Amino acid sequence: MTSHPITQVSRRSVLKGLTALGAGTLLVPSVLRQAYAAAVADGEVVTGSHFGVHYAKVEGGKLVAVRPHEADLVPVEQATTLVDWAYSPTRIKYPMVRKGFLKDGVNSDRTERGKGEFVRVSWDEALDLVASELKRVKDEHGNGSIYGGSYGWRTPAMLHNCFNNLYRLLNLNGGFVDDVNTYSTGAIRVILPYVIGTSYYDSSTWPSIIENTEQIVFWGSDPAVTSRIGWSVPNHAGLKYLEEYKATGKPSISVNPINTETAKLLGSDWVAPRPGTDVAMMLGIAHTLVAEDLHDTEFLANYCSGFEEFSAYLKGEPDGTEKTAEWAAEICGVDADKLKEMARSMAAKRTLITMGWSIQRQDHGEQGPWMAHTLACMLGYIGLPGGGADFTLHYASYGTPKGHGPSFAGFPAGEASKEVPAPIPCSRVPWALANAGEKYDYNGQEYTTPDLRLVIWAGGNPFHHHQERNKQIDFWQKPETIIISDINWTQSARFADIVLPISTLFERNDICNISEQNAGLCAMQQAIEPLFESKTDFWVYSQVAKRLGFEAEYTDGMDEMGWLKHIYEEGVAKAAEKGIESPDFDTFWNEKKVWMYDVTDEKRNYVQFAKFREDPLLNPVATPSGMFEILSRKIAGYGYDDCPGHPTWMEPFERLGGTMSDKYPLHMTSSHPDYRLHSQLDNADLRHSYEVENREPVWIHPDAAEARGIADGDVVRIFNDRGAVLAGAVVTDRMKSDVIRLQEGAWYDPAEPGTKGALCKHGDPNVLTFDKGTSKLAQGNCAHTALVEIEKYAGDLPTITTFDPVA
Amino acid sequence: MPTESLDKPAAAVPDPAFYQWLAGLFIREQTAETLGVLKAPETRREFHDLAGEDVLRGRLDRLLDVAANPADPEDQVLDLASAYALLFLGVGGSREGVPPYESVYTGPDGRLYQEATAEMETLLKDQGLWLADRREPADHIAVELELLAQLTARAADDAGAAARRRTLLADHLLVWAWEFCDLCRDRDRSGFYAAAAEVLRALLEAEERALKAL
Repeated sequence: MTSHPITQVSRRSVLKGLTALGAGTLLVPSVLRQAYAAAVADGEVVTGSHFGVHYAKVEGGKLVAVRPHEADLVPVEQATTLVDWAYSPTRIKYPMVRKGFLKDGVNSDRTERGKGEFVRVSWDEALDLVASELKRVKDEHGNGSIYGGSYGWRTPAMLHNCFNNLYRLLNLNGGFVDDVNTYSTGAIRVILPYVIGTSYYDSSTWPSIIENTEQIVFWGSDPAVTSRIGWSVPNHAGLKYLEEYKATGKPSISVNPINTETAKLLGSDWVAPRPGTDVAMMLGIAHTLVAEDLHDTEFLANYCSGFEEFSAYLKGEPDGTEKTAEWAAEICGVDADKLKEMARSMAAKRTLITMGWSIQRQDHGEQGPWMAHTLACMLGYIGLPGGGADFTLHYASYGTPKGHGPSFAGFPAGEASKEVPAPIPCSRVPWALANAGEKYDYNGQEYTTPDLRLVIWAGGNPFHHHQERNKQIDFWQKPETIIISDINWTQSARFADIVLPISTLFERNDICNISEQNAGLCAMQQAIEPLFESKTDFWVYSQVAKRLGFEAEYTDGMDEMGWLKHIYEEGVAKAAEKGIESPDFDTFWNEKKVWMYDVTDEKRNYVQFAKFREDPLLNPVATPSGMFEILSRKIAGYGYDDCPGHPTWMEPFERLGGTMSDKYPLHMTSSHPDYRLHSQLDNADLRHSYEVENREPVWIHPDAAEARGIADGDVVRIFNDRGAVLAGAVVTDRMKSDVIRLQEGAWYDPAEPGTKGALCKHGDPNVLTFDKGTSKLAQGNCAHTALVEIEKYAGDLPTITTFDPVA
Repeated sequence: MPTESLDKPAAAVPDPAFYQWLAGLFIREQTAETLGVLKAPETRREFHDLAGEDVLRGRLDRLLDVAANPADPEDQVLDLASAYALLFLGVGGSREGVPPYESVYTGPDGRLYQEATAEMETLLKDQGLWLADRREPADHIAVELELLAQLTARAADDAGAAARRRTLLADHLLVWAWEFCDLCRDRDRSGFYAAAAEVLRALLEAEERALKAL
């Protein structure tokens, strides 16, 4: 290229040149320093995640492997992808502020949200901004204008629990508006206390069920998938129990439009109704029980109230429609003979109905669990080992006998203010953000939406879990300020104004209970230094507290290890009062690390409602009548048109064989993903093992595929009036021919970022779902009520960008 | 061979001050102060003096011209910060961004902290250096450039440094930095980082020639 000599280097230019370039201004501070010092020692530490108990291996300061701990009874594939998850290019590296917000503050153009215009700021600037925004909104509008519900699946941890850290900050700041219930269990949580007088999550134990049941009906549930994850650190006992059940050779029925992993494992009798018609199907079975005199009249008389009214409804007295098996068959698409056979089989065998949550994540979702419990009342096996109805056995480690050990309160969220507006049912939050002053019904009361101005959200992903993305984008432009702290650049972070980077579980110390049944305790020891400028939630909110003048109240003068020791010692002191001996903290932390608790015989053989069955007068259930309420006068008294006083079949807003099915002839189920936790891990390498053409797989029946000219491996467009997504076709006969399966959790990836109506290139099912409450009673979400059409995608394939840090 | 090459490459390679300066330019956003220095006439003179070569002078001039003539003088700092975030902090993603990490270009799946990071850490340790803070991995373009500056300054007296300098160039910078420069050229809408990348390209081309001349 050039023949003349290149710059002569000399001592002069090296030394002088460095300083001469703007007297050092251009050069400092340097990125290097003298002398290497290892930050974290090589070796293995013990930790845990939503996916099990693990050893984390560190080499040269880097996380290189995660392997199962011995306490993890059935390790799952999700854990294998945690290393690349920690080093994902989607990590938020620095505090960032949306450009327009940095320049114009609350007067900025909020349609810029989601479009990826961000500027890096220092932690000081970011924290100052968070503190000043909290102060501004509080001063100008009051604490009732701060939404801090922060819904989502936080990392399991006692101290670095992002909710409690955020809530503690906001409570010390004078209060905030919270949310109530969950996207998973919105309807069941509200309806079941009326019916059974207690919450939904009190399962009989698996050992008792395995020994005593004669048949399990998995109704819309797939524990072989949903027991892979846990809200606390799971030891996967649920997966082990499924294998044990299989070994007994006892029968099972799987009622599900999908031939589930569980049904395959157990060789279940697969019965596939139209999605959303379960209540009609159960009514047909109930009718058969009465018609053939198979129902347990004694149980109904002694333990239940309201069967007479319900029975009249079965016979069609109030509405002129008898709920015969034939009537039900017409709606649910399962033969009347099959329904009758099921009724006879369930009556003859001690049967446990274990119902999943999809049944109540749909229009009128309160009815399914209510009807399932009513069916179990009619069968009369409730309170006997191996019988009854259950609503949680399929999930995480429910059904595991409770451990006889200390339980820990964890990092305290502090006292909630009573001066702020009532919590909002979580699936109504996006609507509420944009509709201040609107009236809504919930659980027997009328409420008015508060004037929410500021949203501060820690460790959740509403742009995954909420329904009807295109409507949500509109709602999201209303709040003045949106602050998100997270590990990754989720779409929720992209739609925020202030984005704070949080470190992963591998980057801090913590402790966590093993399983929701408190089967043990697990140390979560730091493996690596926090990546980039990520920090713990505890640090972040203590620094905001400092700026608001209550740092000492926030930290109570303790640091990370100080808090862990405090939380531990508080728990073991209480346990000591019950005669439970515990190692001291240092011994636990340095030597024991994983501590599995003993299990007493009583807890091993626990049967839900056994005491009630033994003596219903002495041990009544906590309903107004003290009995199971097949008729709830309280609910009837609310006068809700979408939730009457007893289990009732009501047409959903759309369904196969019903409304909209002419235009959109396929039903989309968005079940819990096989290899993720909702949207968590979708940014990890494991997705390459199941994705098709880089897109979320959609299961299509061979008949439906053939009729549309779709082949396995094609990219398809799934659409309805609410939106459109691309996905990768997997042609399989593992479901009813007019059902497709697009599992929830694929990251939203709009072709035009931040733009309403954009095509999702990746396969987020919540682009296609409808944003509506289940009913005025529970206001749960209706994600499972969704009709769609599907076609082979003809356009050029757009590149997937949602896993880029920000697109 | 290290002993023979001590003088020859030293006589043909760019002034390490440029690497040190570019390291700073790629590791953090411009401020009003740094832009002020870039606009100062003395800086242009100093650059010319250090550059020696016409191609490099031309590219330095281009960068200084871009710095001196922003589209919106009032918002220059904010606009450049946004451009920086778009390119180097992930805001532009894979379509508009330019990941400043070697691992992304040479490892699997665009992942961070791959083999390149480990190799760079070894080079740093061998030279008795380490990251001033651990915010960025060792295969960040700025770390590689600052190490190159340090090794260039020491190569004449230190055979180990000279050998590491060759490793850093042959196994790292001259492998992936071209693509990095190409992406800056194609994707930077501010013009500033595209111009900076062209300066880097001129420096590395000189290094490549010097290596080949060995």
